[in-house]
Amino acid sequence: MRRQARCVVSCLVLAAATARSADNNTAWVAQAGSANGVVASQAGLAGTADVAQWGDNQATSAYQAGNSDMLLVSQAGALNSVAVVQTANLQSASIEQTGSGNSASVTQSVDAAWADISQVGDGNIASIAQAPSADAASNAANEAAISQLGSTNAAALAQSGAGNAASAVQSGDGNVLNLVQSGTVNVAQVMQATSAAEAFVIQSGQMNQASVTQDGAGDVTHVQQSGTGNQATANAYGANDRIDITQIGNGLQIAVTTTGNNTRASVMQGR
Amino acid sequence: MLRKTLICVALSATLGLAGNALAGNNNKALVNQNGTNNVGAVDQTNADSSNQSLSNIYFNSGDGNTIDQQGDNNNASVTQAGSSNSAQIQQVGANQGGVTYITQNGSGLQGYIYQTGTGQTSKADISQLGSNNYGSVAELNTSGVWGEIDQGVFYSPKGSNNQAYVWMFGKSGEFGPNFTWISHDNLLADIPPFSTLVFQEGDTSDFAFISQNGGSDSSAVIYQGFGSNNSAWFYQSGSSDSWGSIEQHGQFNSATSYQWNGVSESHILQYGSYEQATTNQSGGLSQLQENYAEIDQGLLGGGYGNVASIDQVGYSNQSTVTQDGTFNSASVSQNGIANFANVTQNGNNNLANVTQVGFGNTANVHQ
Repeated sequence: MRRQARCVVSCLVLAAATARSADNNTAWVAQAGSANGVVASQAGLAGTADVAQWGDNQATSAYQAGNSDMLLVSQAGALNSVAVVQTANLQSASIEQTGSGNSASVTQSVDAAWADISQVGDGNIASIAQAPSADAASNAANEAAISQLGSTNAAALAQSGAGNAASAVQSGDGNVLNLVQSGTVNVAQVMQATSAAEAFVIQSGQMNQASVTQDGAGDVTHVQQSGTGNQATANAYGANDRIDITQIGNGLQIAVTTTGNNTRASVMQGR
Repeated sequence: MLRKTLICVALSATLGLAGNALAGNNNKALVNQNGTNNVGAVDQTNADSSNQSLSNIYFNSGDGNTIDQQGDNNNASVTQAGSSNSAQIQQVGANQGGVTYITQNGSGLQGYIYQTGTGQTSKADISQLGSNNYGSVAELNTSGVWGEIDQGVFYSPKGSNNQAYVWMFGKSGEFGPNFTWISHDNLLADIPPFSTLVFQEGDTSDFAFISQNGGSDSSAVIYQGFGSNNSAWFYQSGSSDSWGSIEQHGQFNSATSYQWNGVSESHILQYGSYEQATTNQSGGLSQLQENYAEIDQGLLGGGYGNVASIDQVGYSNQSTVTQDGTFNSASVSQNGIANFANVTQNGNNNLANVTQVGFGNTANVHQ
């Protein structure tokens, strides 16, 4: 449904845009086996690249430079990798990986971009960076989502600008999340299930919101916010959980809930 | 009536000359016919070597082509056996439905058929058995003609080092399709190459087919210079190192190449719109390696609605598809190890589809 909605947006943008070369192109690539590689690059607007890989040690590298470009990558196997760079507005990237030891990274550098990484398996790494490039006028209204199902996974989210939203869901033991946002009116949401998970959320700027929920034992939450009007919420449902929240600025809000034994909550607000 | 009588006398004398040449070597047969509805035949099949037949058959020359296009139906044939023989048939003027044959069996043979005029559905056919033979068909200012060269086809032992050339230059304003068929068969894998060149410049619906079986280092070249709805095929199977190219100008053309031998190259160049190009390098399971397939469409200004397809099986194969224009599609399928697919599309609304199965394959799509 979300893709369809974005497609409608893309179509509207396409209709309004001035035609130029290399627009509305589509690339489909399918690979089965091992140690295969895909390099896809699209320069025009409303391009679509769809890559499917089955097997181990597969790699995909994609570069899209037109507005409303869309990338879809699906990998099934172990030790696969995806690297995506998108440099225009209204672009989207969706990556699905099934297996262990996989990695996926998305870099988006303008406005209204959307990135989604979904990984099922152990020992996977996912990263999304939505930050303006040196020549970008702004970086706003981006959305980033990471979902990891399995153990010992790592995820990193970085956003800068205004009106960005980042969310991460990790289910499994020993997962680690790093989420960094700078700018105004950004929203961060983190959900970690099972044990020994660790979440780091750092926000700088105005009117930002951070929410971390952990369900399991031995989980750790770190939230740091600097700026005015920021809000932080942390919920820990399990034993031996630990919550550390630090806020610097004015007009701050913090809400902490723990429901297990031997939990520890540390909150600090200052100017 | 008097003219037909004279022709019959001349023909009888010709056949008599040919008959006298059956038993010896170093014979020459010369046939000159000037008129309509003539039949010329020279048979030197029992000679051993060094025979020459020069069948210069001039149909209707000087009588005005307009008149001669109606009902004229001329035929010529030369049959030779031995080595180092040469045969030449030259037809000038209108040639409606004429059939011209050169049949040669031996080595070091040379066969030439030259036709020019406004002929419809005329046929030139050179059949050569043996090795080191050379066949050439030139059909100029014609339409609806058939040029065929068979070298070592369907016979054993096969030949080697044969060369076939077909040149067709269509007549402006004529719309009948020209047809080219060239077949080679080589028996051994390491014998010298075939070389085949087809050159067609008709207005529409030309057809060229080259079949090269056996041998290595074979080359096939098909050039269709103008017109639309032309089609070209070449099929190469043998040991390795085949090389083939198809170049088509115009629109609605189709090109198909089959290379089932390994270490071979296929090049298809198409300059117009609504073109179709297909390359298949997936046969001959024991020799699938290091093939290269190239398809370029929409050259010089971009095309519309072109379709390119490459199918490769084996290892270390490479494919390159380049399309300029809009609403083009490219499809590459590779099955094997260390294959490389490169698709470049310049323009809007294009589609690239790459499928790879195996190990260490790379797909590069640039749009």
